Amino acid sequence: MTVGIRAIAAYVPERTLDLKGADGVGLGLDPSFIDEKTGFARVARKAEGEDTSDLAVAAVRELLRDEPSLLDKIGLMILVTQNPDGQGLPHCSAIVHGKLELPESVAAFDISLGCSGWVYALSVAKSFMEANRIAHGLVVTADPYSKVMDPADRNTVSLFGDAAAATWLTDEAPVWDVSDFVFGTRGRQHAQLEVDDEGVLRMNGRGVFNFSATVVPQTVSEVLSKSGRQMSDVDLVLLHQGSRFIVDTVAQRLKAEDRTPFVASHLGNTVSSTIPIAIAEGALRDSQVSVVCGFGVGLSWAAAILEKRNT
Amino acid sequence: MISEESIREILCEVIKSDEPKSWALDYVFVGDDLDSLDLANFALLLSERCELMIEDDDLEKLRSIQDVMEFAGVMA
Repeated sequence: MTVGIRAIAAYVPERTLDLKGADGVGLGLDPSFIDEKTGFARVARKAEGEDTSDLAVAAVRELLRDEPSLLDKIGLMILVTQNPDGQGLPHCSAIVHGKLELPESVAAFDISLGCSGWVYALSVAKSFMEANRIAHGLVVTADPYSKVMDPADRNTVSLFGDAAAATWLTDEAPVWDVSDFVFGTRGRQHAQLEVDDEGVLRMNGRGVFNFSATVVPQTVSEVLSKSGRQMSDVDLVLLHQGSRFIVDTVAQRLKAEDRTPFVASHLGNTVSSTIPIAIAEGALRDSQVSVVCGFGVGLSWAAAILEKRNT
Repeated sequence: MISEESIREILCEVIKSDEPKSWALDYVFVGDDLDSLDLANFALLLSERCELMIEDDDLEKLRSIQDVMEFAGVMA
Protein backbone atom coordinates (compact mmCIF):
# COMPACT_ATOMS: atom_id res chain seq x y z
CA MET A 1 0.00 0.00 0.00
CA THR A 2 1.11 3.59 -0.67
CA VAL A 3 -0.35 6.19 1.62
CA GLY A 4 -0.78 9.79 0.48
CA ILE A 5 -2.84 12.87 1.31
CA ARG A 6 -6.51 12.78 0.39
CA ALA A 7 -7.80 16.05 1.86
CA ILE A 8 -6.99 18.81 4.33
CA ALA A 9 -9.34 21.03 6.31
CA ALA A 10 -8.63 24.03 8.51
CA TYR A 11 -10.19 25.66 11.51
CA VAL A 12 -9.43 29.32 12.13
CA PRO A 13 -11.08 30.97 15.17
CA GLU A 14 -13.39 33.89 14.34
CA ARG A 15 -11.59 36.30 16.66
CA THR A 16 -8.64 38.13 15.16
CA LEU A 17 -6.34 40.97 16.15
CA ASP A 18 -6.37 43.70 13.50
CA LEU A 19 -2.69 44.60 13.44
CA LYS A 20 -3.12 47.35 10.85
CA GLY A 21 -5.96 48.83 12.86
CA ALA A 22 -6.70 49.52 16.50
CA ASP A 23 -4.93 46.44 17.86
CA GLY A 24 -1.76 47.33 15.97
CA VAL A 25 -1.86 50.91 17.21
CA GLY A 26 -2.18 49.64 20.76
CA LEU A 27 0.93 47.52 20.27
CA GLY A 28 2.83 50.40 18.66
CA LEU A 29 3.19 48.56 15.34
CA ASP A 30 4.31 50.36 12.18
CA PRO A 31 1.94 49.47 9.28
CA SER A 32 4.80 49.52 6.77
CA PHE A 33 6.75 47.08 8.93
CA ILE A 34 3.71 44.79 8.84
CA ASP A 35 3.42 45.06 5.04
CA GLU A 36 7.08 44.56 4.27
CA LYS A 37 8.39 42.43 7.10
CA THR A 38 6.02 40.40 9.27
CA GLY A 39 3.33 40.25 6.58
CA PHE A 40 0.57 39.57 9.09
CA ALA A 41 -2.26 42.10 8.85
CA ARG A 42 -4.33 39.93 11.16
CA VAL A 43 -3.57 37.17 13.64
CA ALA A 44 -6.21 34.69 14.73
CA ARG A 45 -6.95 34.17 18.41
CA LYS A 46 -8.83 31.33 20.00
CA ALA A 47 -11.82 32.20 22.16
CA GLU A 48 -11.44 32.33 25.92
CA GLY A 49 -12.05 28.84 27.24
CA GLU A 50 -11.32 27.27 23.89
CA ASP A 51 -8.48 24.79 24.40
CA THR A 52 -6.05 23.02 22.10
CA SER A 53 -8.22 19.93 21.87
CA ASP A 54 -11.19 22.11 20.87
CA LEU A 55 -9.21 23.59 17.98
CA ALA A 56 -8.17 20.10 16.90
CA VAL A 57 -11.72 18.77 17.09
CA ALA A 58 -13.02 21.75 15.10
CA ALA A 59 -10.49 21.10 12.33
CA VAL A 60 -11.47 17.43 12.14
CA ARG A 61 -15.15 18.39 12.03
CA GLU A 62 -14.38 20.64 9.05
CA LEU A 63 -12.90 17.60 7.32
CA LEU A 64 -16.03 15.60 8.09
CA ARG A 65 -18.23 18.05 6.16
CA ASP A 66 -17.16 16.38 2.92
CA GLU A 67 -16.61 12.91 4.35
CA PRO A 68 -19.06 12.32 7.22
CA SER A 69 -18.22 8.63 7.56
CA LEU A 70 -14.47 9.19 7.91
CA LEU A 71 -14.36 8.75 11.68
CA ASP A 72 -15.72 5.23 11.37
CA LYS A 73 -12.85 4.30 9.08
CA ILE A 74 -9.73 5.79 10.62
CA GLY A 75 -7.17 3.70 12.48
CA LEU A 76 -4.68 6.42 13.41
CA MET A 77 -4.78 9.97 14.72
CA ILE A 78 -1.61 11.95 15.37
CA LEU A 79 -1.81 15.34 17.08
CA VAL A 80 1.09 17.74 16.61
CA THR A 81 1.26 20.21 19.47
CA GLN A 82 3.58 21.67 22.10
CA ASN A 83 0.75 23.44 23.89
CA PRO A 84 -1.56 20.61 24.90
CA ASP A 85 -4.57 20.85 27.21
CA GLY A 86 -3.67 21.00 30.91
CA GLN A 87 -0.14 19.87 31.71
CA GLY A 88 0.20 17.44 28.82
CA LEU A 89 -0.76 14.34 30.77
CA PRO A 90 -2.77 12.64 29.38
CA HIS A 91 -1.56 13.18 25.86
CA CYS A 92 -3.81 15.67 24.12
CA SER A 93 -4.61 13.28 21.28
CA ALA A 94 -6.39 11.08 23.83
CA ILE A 95 -8.59 14.04 24.78
CA VAL A 96 -9.34 14.71 21.11
CA HIS A 97 -10.03 11.00 20.65
CA GLY A 98 -12.58 11.17 23.45
CA LYS A 99 -14.25 14.36 22.22
CA LEU A 100 -14.62 12.90 18.74
CA GLU A 101 -15.90 9.60 20.23
CA LEU A 102 -13.48 7.65 18.07
CA PRO A 103 -13.47 3.83 18.19
CA GLU A 104 -11.12 2.26 20.75
CA SER A 105 -9.25 0.60 17.88
CA VAL A 106 -7.80 3.98 16.84
CA ALA A 107 -4.12 4.53 17.67
CA ALA A 108 -3.69 8.06 19.00
CA PHE A 109 -0.50 9.82 20.03
CA ASP A 110 1.07 13.26 20.16
CA ILE A 111 4.15 14.53 18.39
CA SER A 112 5.91 17.35 20.24
CA LEU A 113 7.26 19.54 17.48
CA GLY A 114 6.68 23.13 16.41
CA CYS A 115 6.82 24.53 12.90
CA SER A 116 8.44 21.43 11.36
CA GLY A 117 5.78 19.20 12.92
CA TRP A 118 3.36 18.72 10.04
CA VAL A 119 6.03 17.42 7.68
CA TYR A 120 7.48 15.14 10.36
CA ALA A 121 4.00 13.85 11.17
CA LEU A 122 3.29 13.09 7.52
CA SER A 123 6.31 10.80 7.46
CA VAL A 124 5.43 9.16 10.79
CA ALA A 125 1.78 8.64 9.79
CA LYS A 126 2.65 7.29 6.35
CA SER A 127 5.19 4.85 7.79
CA PHE A 128 2.90 3.80 10.66
CA MET A 129 -0.04 3.23 8.34
CA GLU A 130 1.93 1.30 5.75
CA ALA A 131 3.66 -0.83 8.39
CA ASN A 132 0.41 -1.64 10.15
CA ARG A 133 -1.88 -1.72 7.11
CA ILE A 134 -4.08 1.11 8.29
CA ALA A 135 -6.11 2.48 5.40
CA HIS A 136 -7.14 5.84 6.87
CA GLY A 137 -5.40 8.16 9.28
CA LEU A 138 -5.42 11.75 10.48
CA VAL A 139 -2.64 14.21 11.21
CA VAL A 140 -4.01 17.09 13.26
CA THR A 141 -1.98 20.21 14.01
CA ALA A 142 -3.08 22.57 16.79
CA ASP A 143 -0.59 24.75 18.65
CA PRO A 144 -2.17 27.92 20.03
CA TYR A 145 0.79 30.07 21.05
CA SER A 146 -1.54 32.62 22.63
CA LYS A 147 -1.45 30.29 25.66
CA VAL A 148 2.22 31.10 26.23
CA MET A 149 2.63 34.63 24.86
CA ASP A 150 3.32 37.72 26.91
CA PRO A 151 0.49 40.03 25.73
CA ALA A 152 2.90 42.98 25.95
CA ASP A 153 5.56 41.36 23.74
CA ARG A 154 4.67 42.80 20.35
CA ASN A 155 7.40 40.74 18.66
CA THR A 156 5.49 37.52 19.32
CA VAL A 157 1.94 38.89 19.61
CA SER A 158 2.18 40.32 16.09
CA LEU A 159 3.53 37.08 14.61
CA PHE A 160 1.70 34.09 15.95
CA GLY A 161 -1.90 33.07 15.31
CA ASP A 162 -4.09 30.29 16.70
CA ALA A 163 -5.56 27.77 14.29
CA ALA A 164 -5.68 24.06 13.52
CA ALA A 165 -5.62 21.77 10.52
CA ALA A 166 -6.65 18.18 9.89
CA THR A 167 -4.97 16.12 7.17
CA TRP A 168 -6.55 12.90 5.94
CA LEU A 169 -4.08 10.26 4.79
CA THR A 170 -5.13 7.12 2.98
CA ASP A 171 -4.09 4.61 0.36
CA GLU A 172 -7.53 4.95 -1.27
CA ALA A 173 -7.32 7.49 -4.09
CA PRO A 174 -5.00 10.01 -2.44
CA VAL A 175 -4.69 13.36 -4.17
CA TRP A 176 -1.02 13.91 -3.32
CA ASP A 177 1.78 11.41 -3.00
CA VAL A 178 4.35 12.36 -0.37
CA SER A 179 7.97 11.34 -0.75
CA ASP A 180 11.67 12.09 -0.39
CA PHE A 181 11.57 13.41 3.17
CA VAL A 182 14.61 15.10 4.67
CA PHE A 183 14.92 16.05 8.33
CA GLY A 184 17.28 17.93 10.60
CA THR A 185 17.83 19.23 14.11
CA ARG A 186 20.20 21.86 15.56
CA GLY A 187 19.72 21.23 19.23
CA ARG A 188 22.63 23.41 20.32
CA GLN A 189 20.48 26.41 19.39
CA HIS A 190 17.29 25.22 21.08
CA ALA A 191 17.10 28.41 23.19
CA GLN A 192 16.48 30.62 20.13
CA LEU A 193 12.77 29.92 20.51
CA GLU A 194 11.55 28.58 23.83
CA VAL A 195 9.09 28.90 26.67
CA ASP A 196 11.00 30.20 29.69
CA ASP A 197 10.72 29.23 33.35
CA GLU A 198 7.82 31.68 33.78
CA GLY A 199 5.92 29.89 31.02
CA VAL A 200 6.37 32.72 28.51
CA LEU A 201 7.44 32.35 24.88
CA ARG A 202 10.80 33.97 24.12
CA MET A 203 12.24 34.36 20.64
CA ASN A 204 15.63 35.53 19.41
CA GLY A 205 14.52 37.06 16.13
CA ARG A 206 18.01 37.38 14.66
CA GLY A 207 18.90 33.82 15.58
CA VAL A 208 15.72 32.41 14.06
CA PHE A 209 16.24 34.51 10.93
CA ASN A 210 19.86 33.36 10.49
CA PHE A 211 18.79 29.75 10.91
CA SER A 212 15.92 30.06 8.44
CA ALA A 213 17.87 31.97 5.81
CA THR A 214 20.71 29.45 5.76
CA VAL A 215 19.18 26.04 6.57
CA VAL A 216 15.95 26.23 4.58
CA PRO A 217 17.45 26.87 1.12
CA GLN A 218 19.93 24.06 1.78
CA THR A 219 17.09 21.74 2.87
CA VAL A 220 15.03 22.51 -0.22
CA SER A 221 18.09 21.74 -2.35
CA GLU A 222 18.54 18.43 -0.50
CA VAL A 223 14.96 17.33 -1.06
CA LEU A 224 15.21 18.22 -4.73
CA SER A 225 18.43 16.24 -5.04
CA LYS A 226 16.94 13.29 -3.20
CA SER A 227 13.99 13.23 -5.59
CA GLY A 228 16.18 13.61 -8.67
CA ARG A 229 14.65 16.97 -9.52
CA GLN A 230 15.78 20.51 -10.11
CA MET A 231 14.06 23.71 -9.09
CA SER A 232 12.76 24.08 -12.65
CA ASP A 233 10.81 20.81 -12.18
CA VAL A 234 8.88 22.25 -9.23
CA ASP A 235 5.72 24.31 -9.55
CA LEU A 236 5.59 25.58 -5.99
CA VAL A 237 7.77 25.80 -2.90
CA LEU A 238 5.42 26.01 0.04
CA LEU A 239 7.38 27.09 3.07
CA HIS A 240 6.29 27.34 6.67
CA GLN A 241 4.73 30.80 6.85
CA GLY A 242 6.97 32.15 9.60
CA SER A 243 6.84 35.72 8.33
CA ARG A 244 6.84 37.47 4.97
CA PHE A 245 10.47 38.50 5.48
CA ILE A 246 11.65 34.94 6.06
CA VAL A 247 9.62 33.52 3.16
CA ASP A 248 10.85 36.27 0.82
CA THR A 249 14.46 35.90 1.95
CA VAL A 250 14.44 32.13 1.40
CA ALA A 251 12.70 32.60 -1.95
CA GLN A 252 15.37 35.05 -3.02
CA ARG A 253 18.15 32.70 -1.98
CA LEU A 254 16.50 29.86 -3.89
CA LYS A 255 16.04 32.17 -6.89
CA ALA A 256 12.43 31.01 -6.85
CA GLU A 257 10.54 34.19 -5.96
CA ASP A 258 7.92 33.41 -8.61
CA ARG A 259 6.87 30.15 -6.94
CA THR A 260 7.44 30.68 -3.22
CA PRO A 261 4.32 32.44 -1.95
CA PHE A 262 3.52 34.13 1.31
CA VAL A 263 -0.15 33.32 1.93
CA ALA A 264 -0.78 33.78 5.65
CA SER A 265 -1.34 37.53 5.99
CA HIS A 266 -4.90 36.98 7.25
CA LEU A 267 -4.17 34.62 10.15
CA GLY A 268 -0.56 34.80 11.34
CA ASN A 269 2.13 32.21 11.91
CA THR A 270 0.05 29.27 13.08
CA VAL A 271 3.12 27.12 13.79
CA SER A 272 2.68 23.54 12.52
CA SER A 273 -0.59 24.49 10.81
CA THR A 274 0.72 27.06 8.31
CA ILE A 275 1.48 24.62 5.49
CA PRO A 276 -1.65 22.45 5.76
CA ILE A 277 -3.86 25.53 6.09
CA ALA A 278 -2.28 27.02 2.96
CA ILE A 279 -3.02 23.79 1.09
CA ALA A 280 -6.58 23.68 2.44
CA GLU A 281 -7.01 27.21 1.12
CA GLY A 282 -5.89 26.16 -2.35
CA ALA A 283 -2.17 26.95 -2.49
CA LEU A 284 -1.41 23.78 -4.48
CA ARG A 285 -4.42 24.06 -6.78
CA ASP A 286 -2.33 24.59 -9.92
CA SER A 287 0.76 22.65 -8.86
CA GLN A 288 1.74 19.19 -9.99
CA VAL A 289 4.99 18.95 -8.05
CA SER A 290 5.58 20.94 -4.87
CA VAL A 291 8.17 21.14 -2.14
CA VAL A 292 6.94 21.64 1.41
CA CYS A 293 9.34 22.70 4.16
CA GLY A 294 8.65 23.29 7.83
CA PHE A 295 11.24 24.81 10.17
CA GLY A 296 11.43 26.43 13.58
CA VAL A 297 11.38 25.39 17.24
CA GLY A 298 14.23 23.04 18.15
CA LEU A 299 15.76 24.19 15.98
CA SER A 300 14.16 21.62 13.71
CA TRP A 301 13.32 21.27 10.04
CA ALA A 302 11.76 18.85 7.59
CA ALA A 303 10.91 18.90 3.89
CA ALA A 304 9.25 16.62 1.37
CA ILE A 305 7.91 16.42 -2.16
CA LEU A 306 4.15 16.51 -2.73
CA GLU A 307 3.14 15.28 -6.16
CA LYS A 308 -0.41 15.39 -7.42
CA ARG A 309 -1.63 12.03 -8.63
CA ASN A 310 -2.95 11.82 -12.16
CA THR A 311 -6.52 10.61 -11.93
CA MET B 1 37.66 40.43 1.94
CA ILE B 2 35.65 43.30 3.36
CA SER B 3 35.88 46.75 1.83
CA GLU B 4 33.84 49.92 1.65
CA GLU B 5 32.59 48.78 -1.75
CA SER B 6 31.46 45.37 -0.50
CA ILE B 7 29.65 46.96 2.44
CA ARG B 8 27.82 49.32 0.09
CA GLU B 9 26.92 46.45 -2.25
CA ILE B 10 25.43 44.44 0.59
CA LEU B 11 23.50 47.45 1.86
CA CYS B 12 22.08 47.99 -1.65
CA GLU B 13 20.95 44.38 -1.70
CA VAL B 14 19.42 44.54 1.77
CA ILE B 15 17.29 47.62 1.12
CA LYS B 16 16.77 46.80 -2.59
CA SER B 17 18.01 50.23 -3.68
CA ASP B 18 21.12 51.95 -5.06
CA GLU B 19 20.93 54.67 -2.39
CA PRO B 20 23.78 53.30 -0.22
CA LYS B 21 26.24 53.96 -3.05
CA SER B 22 25.93 57.68 -2.36
CA TRP B 23 25.69 57.59 1.43
CA ALA B 24 28.40 59.47 3.31
CA LEU B 25 30.61 57.23 5.40
CA ASP B 26 29.08 58.56 8.60
CA TYR B 27 25.48 58.53 7.33
CA VAL B 28 23.34 56.78 9.97
CA PHE B 29 21.37 54.06 8.20
CA VAL B 30 19.79 52.47 11.26
CA GLY B 31 16.18 53.51 11.72
CA ASP B 32 14.79 55.13 8.59
CA ASP B 33 16.69 52.94 6.14
CA LEU B 34 17.36 49.66 7.92
CA ASP B 35 15.03 48.15 10.50
CA SER B 36 15.95 45.33 12.87
CA LEU B 37 15.26 42.59 10.33
CA ASP B 38 17.26 44.38 7.62
CA LEU B 39 20.14 44.64 10.09
CA ALA B 40 19.95 40.92 10.78
CA ASN B 41 20.08 40.27 7.04
CA PHE B 42 22.96 42.76 6.65
CA ALA B 43 24.95 40.99 9.36
CA LEU B 44 24.25 37.57 7.86
CA LEU B 45 25.44 38.66 4.42
CA LEU B 46 28.58 40.24 5.91
CA SER B 47 29.36 36.95 7.63
CA GLU B 48 28.73 34.87 4.51
CA ARG B 49 30.53 37.07 1.97
CA CYS B 50 33.16 38.88 4.00
CA GLU B 51 33.64 36.46 6.92
CA LEU B 52 32.85 39.27 9.34
CA MET B 53 31.19 37.84 12.43
CA ILE B 54 29.16 40.32 14.48
CA GLU B 55 27.72 39.46 17.89
CA ASP B 56 24.37 40.92 18.95
CA ASP B 57 25.96 43.47 21.30
CA ASP B 58 28.29 44.74 18.58
CA LEU B 59 25.57 44.88 15.92
CA GLU B 60 23.65 47.37 18.04
CA LYS B 61 26.61 49.77 17.79
CA LEU B 62 27.00 49.64 14.00
CA ARG B 63 25.01 52.55 12.64
CA SER B 64 27.01 53.70 9.60
CA ILE B 65 29.38 52.40 6.92
CA GLN B 66 32.21 53.96 8.89
CA ASP B 67 31.20 52.03 12.01
CA VAL B 68 31.27 48.76 10.07
CA MET B 69 34.67 49.54 8.55
CA GLU B 70 36.13 50.44 11.92
CA PHE B 71 34.65 47.28 13.46
CA ALA B 72 36.19 45.21 10.66
CA GLY B 73 39.55 46.91 11.08
CA VAL B 74 39.71 48.33 7.56
CA MET B 75 39.65 51.96 8.73
CA ALA B 76 41.79 53.53 11.37
